[in-house]
Amino acid sequence: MPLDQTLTSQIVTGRQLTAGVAEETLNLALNGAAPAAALAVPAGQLWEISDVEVCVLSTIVQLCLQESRDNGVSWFNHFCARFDTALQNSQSRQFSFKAPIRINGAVNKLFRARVQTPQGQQIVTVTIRLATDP
Amino acid sequence: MSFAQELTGVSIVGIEPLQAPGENPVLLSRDGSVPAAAIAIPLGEKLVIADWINSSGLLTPFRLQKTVDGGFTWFDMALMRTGDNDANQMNNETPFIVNGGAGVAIRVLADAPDDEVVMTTLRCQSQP
Repeated sequence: MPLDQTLTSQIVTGRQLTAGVAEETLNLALNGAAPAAALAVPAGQLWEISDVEVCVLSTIVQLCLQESRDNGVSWFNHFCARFDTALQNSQSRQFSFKAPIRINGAVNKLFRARVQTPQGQQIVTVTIRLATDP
Repeated sequence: MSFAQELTGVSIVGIEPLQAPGENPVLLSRDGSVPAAAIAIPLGEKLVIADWINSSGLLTPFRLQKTVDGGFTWFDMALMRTGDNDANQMNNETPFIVNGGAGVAIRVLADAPDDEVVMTTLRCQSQP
């Protein structure tokens, strides 16, 4: 993605102790705001998500990035991955996209992350790198 | 212009337990559409597939395939194998470009044991 003066770098992070083995929503903070279960993508703004980093200590973790177009009634996946950090000699994993996830903002447009640690409670941290226009 | 506004981001994602032994299509959803065994690329659309990410709980081979005759024959575009509880990502400097047409479709096949959940993500852009 070419950098341009009209683009703004945004920081989305989430850090959470999972409740158990079931899938749950990871609360996300946008530029240091209070963490929320979903982030609104306002009308007129274009999000371009290029990178996702996941850190978890020696366990299996599943991550899905989702969008809603009806204010959270229904969600669909933009990205899903599942891996075991214990097997990879690393506790963090990065996914970078040459075709980034694009979300055109609108009324009722939301973004969220779903995580699952099927082997039990674990702290999961996620960093999402994105640029917005304008 | 900042972003290439003429391109539309497309997410094609499949996540499901395979229901039969052997190689099976992973049901794919394009931007939340109803999952299907194949994604048709309509005439006039150019689908650019830049990233392919696969995950599985067990060692699983994946095939990304294309048909130009409505599914009568398929050919491989890319092959990948994941390890146990592993996610593999393929980033292509030269992306796969699928020019839409009557009978043009893509699908992903996976060969995993019964009930094993497999996940596949295709990061794409389309034109127009």
